[in-house]
Amino acid sequence: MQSIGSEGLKAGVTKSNIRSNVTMQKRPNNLGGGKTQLGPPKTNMDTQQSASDNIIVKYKDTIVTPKELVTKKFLQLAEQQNREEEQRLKVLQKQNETKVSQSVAESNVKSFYQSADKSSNSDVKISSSNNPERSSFMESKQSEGTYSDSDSRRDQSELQEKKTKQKKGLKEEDLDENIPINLSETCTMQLLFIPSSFINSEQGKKTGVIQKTQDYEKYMVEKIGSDNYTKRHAQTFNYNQKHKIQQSNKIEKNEYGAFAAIWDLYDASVTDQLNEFELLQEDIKGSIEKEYKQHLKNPYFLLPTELEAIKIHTERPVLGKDYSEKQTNKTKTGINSNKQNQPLNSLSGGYTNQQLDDKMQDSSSSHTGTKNLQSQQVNIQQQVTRSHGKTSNPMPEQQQKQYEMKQDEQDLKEEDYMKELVKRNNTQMSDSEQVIFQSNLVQTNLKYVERILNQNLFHKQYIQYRNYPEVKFEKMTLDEDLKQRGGAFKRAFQNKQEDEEVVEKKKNEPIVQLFQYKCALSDQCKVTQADWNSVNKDLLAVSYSNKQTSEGHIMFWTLKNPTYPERIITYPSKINCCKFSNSQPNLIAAGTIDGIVAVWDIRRKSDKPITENKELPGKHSDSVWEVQWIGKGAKGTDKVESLVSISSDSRIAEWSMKKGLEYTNLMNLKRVVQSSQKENLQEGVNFRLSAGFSFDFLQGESSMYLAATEDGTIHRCSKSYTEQYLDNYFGHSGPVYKVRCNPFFSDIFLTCSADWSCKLWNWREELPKANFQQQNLQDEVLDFEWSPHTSTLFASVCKDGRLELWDLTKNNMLDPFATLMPQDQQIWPAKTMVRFAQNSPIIITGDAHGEVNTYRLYGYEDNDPLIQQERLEKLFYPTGYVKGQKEQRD
Amino acid sequence: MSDIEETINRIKTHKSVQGIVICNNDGQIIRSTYGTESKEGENIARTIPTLAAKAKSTVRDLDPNNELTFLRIKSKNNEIMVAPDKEFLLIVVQGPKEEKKEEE
Repeated sequence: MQSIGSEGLKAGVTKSNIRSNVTMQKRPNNLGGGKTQLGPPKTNMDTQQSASDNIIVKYKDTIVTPKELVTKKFLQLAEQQNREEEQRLKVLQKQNETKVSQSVAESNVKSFYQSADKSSNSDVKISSSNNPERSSFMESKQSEGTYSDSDSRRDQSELQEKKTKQKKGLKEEDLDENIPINLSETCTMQLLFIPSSFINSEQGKKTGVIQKTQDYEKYMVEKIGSDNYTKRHAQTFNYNQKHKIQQSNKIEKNEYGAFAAIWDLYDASVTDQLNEFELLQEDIKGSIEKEYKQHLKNPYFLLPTELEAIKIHTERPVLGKDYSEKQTNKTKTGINSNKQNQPLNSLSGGYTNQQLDDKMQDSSSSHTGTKNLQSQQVNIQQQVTRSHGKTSNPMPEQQQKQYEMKQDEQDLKEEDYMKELVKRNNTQMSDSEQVIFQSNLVQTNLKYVERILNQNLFHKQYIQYRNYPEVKFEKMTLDEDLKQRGGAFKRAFQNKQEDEEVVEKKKNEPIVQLFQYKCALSDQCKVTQADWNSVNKDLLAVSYSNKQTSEGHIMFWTLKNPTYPERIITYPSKINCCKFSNSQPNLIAAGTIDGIVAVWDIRRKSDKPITENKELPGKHSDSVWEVQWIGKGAKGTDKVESLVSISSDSRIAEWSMKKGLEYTNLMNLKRVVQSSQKENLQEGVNFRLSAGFSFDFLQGESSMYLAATEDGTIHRCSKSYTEQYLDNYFGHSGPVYKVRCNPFFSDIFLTCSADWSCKLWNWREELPKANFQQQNLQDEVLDFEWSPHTSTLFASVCKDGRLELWDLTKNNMLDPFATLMPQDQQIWPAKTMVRFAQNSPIIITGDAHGEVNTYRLYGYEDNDPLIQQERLEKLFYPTGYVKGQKEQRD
Repeated sequence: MSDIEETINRIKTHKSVQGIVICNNDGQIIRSTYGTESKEGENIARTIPTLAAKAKSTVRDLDPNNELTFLRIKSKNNEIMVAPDKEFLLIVVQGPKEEKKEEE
């Protein structure tokens, strides 16, 4: 066989050549550019003709087929196959199904050649392999046509030829013959033809063609190695798409709409400006939290657990170990000892993780979360140790039972403890409430709400308070706004003219009660004194003595909320008096029934006074009845103010705040007996000292002051003398509770006393100028005050609960022009305090039942400060007043 | 904490107050004096937060430096007062002012 093959080769014959030759007869030779093909360009049309080709194939004189190279055996096979093929082909021809025949022929050829391969040499192989290659190749590509088909056809025809040849009888001599083979090119197929164009140079310049070409040349040069251009493959011939069905889980979609308002943008820009450092901090915090949470999931994570839980747990006996041993282990933390017992029980591990996760999700506030976690930790370990205990060495039954009993006990204990913990957590408020109530804003918001509630309730009263004219219709007008805005506007409106009607009405009722400052706590107290703040004119500090608890309170009331004070300061002993400092309006001083003088800074939250003279020397040994702040220079202007107090231990002391409370004794009140009475005295004066109730510094003279005493005398004293009085004023027959100078005309002062009367004096004269006592008054006058705006007006309150308003210009100083007193059947609590408001025509009274009543005073709205002094002068000194009347000593 | 409780109690027992509702921004009631029988509390908690949010937004739109401190809705029958906060809303409903005369 091989020799045949080689001979074949020698003959210079290749299959392809032969092939081409064979077909040469039929096809025209087209020499042209393009692809040189191994065979003629075939179209489908050609193959159809091949059917007819198979029958007769001629080549010049001899019929040459590659079959010559094949052995006899194969010839036989071929014969057989040829017969079969013929039959098939005939069938197919009729039906004209080219393709089937092709494929059939193909497969036939393939099989034929495969069989041939076994015995043939490499050449044959190549040729045979070529064929099937080409055949499959040909199926998809058109350009090369159904080359193989034609080949196969040819093969078939060749087979047939061979047959015929065989019939003819191929002789050995034929083998040596030279076979001429002609090669020729196949026809060229043009795929793309862009003819070049010729253009006149002038025209070219016009149309820019020359430029284009130049640019193009440039571009071609630039293109090499340029970054602007990259080589890229492109798929120009796309195979048929295959549909592939895929399935995935449903993609969860969520819609989210957001709306950015102007303030959103503003907020974003603000937060962007946050310090980088702060951002870092936040990040770090966040990552720490994350890590912490991660670690928590690990059952071996050591957390500080409740000591109790550890203790309970470590008391558990563990099987297989001496109990005493266990005890010693307790010295380490419970966790350590438990660690020893932790076998890697996968079950428990899984349990813990899951439980942990649950707990983590459930836990509301972080605090409860960790608590739960801790309990969980203990549970875990309990679980583990339990399992460990049970899987240890087999113990004698008795011990086992004992152990189990102990275990149960311990379990119960632990359970109880855990239950407690859980309960404790649950009794706290739900986390949302917690969060909310911890917010500081709750307080303020609640405060606002309260105020506004009251505003609605007391709206009418507020308007009256502020001296705004009443508005007939229900509309909330400008007044409200102005009222809320405060001082500046108020003053402007204070002197507004009221409606005629209103004026008429009010003439009959000069005093109208507006509201009460009252709260639950104050109901059990007695009002002792009150003072307005100099800066916040609406802030009223009222001192109380609590009848039930024997404590003292200072409550700070404001107009905005008459139902509850802004602040309550509680002091262990009853407070008798209080006074705001003029130069430092945040300080308030108070004197107590124990003789303690205390100063509070109301800016501070604590109830503790900033100074008190509890243990200091100089503390009064009896109740302090009055405290005042005295400035060094003109009253109130000096920054350094000192406190002056007067008390029943007959001392007037001055306290300076420089270092704690340092005191200097201003005066020891000694009893002085009126000269005229000396003769009447049969017994000696029992007590040399007399208790002082009140004092007042004379205006403009910081060293002179008046002191009112228990024995009914008023002394004029000076700071420079501590033992001697400058003057004494006798007239009252009972203890004098208060002494006050007139704010406009300081020569005049007024006193009120337990002898049911008030008396008016000029300190330069020894006898009282006027006596004020109402006919039906049969009770002590406990307090009075000059009106700060009208020099001739003062109010007094009495023990029977009445409020009297005296105008020196009216009623000839015999009767008050207005009295507020209980009706026939009523019994009122004793009024202990009366005050005028600084910024509005309001009078405040306090009584023994803790009520602070607010009254509106009508008729005294327009006050010209300039004429006040004059007025008063004229009253008493119609002929003119000359200062410098000699002081008369006793 | 107790101060807050006290204040809430005082407001509650105020004469003209019809009810208090504390709810969060979503409308969940945290505290309410209305009780569960009447739907008033729920209605309030359902409708007011949106209005308060709108008011907040408006105030800040006009001036981003500003913020809403209080919202009062005065109507014929009552007055609804809303104090907003970051997480929650405090709503108080006050009834009409009674024309009572103060005792002498």
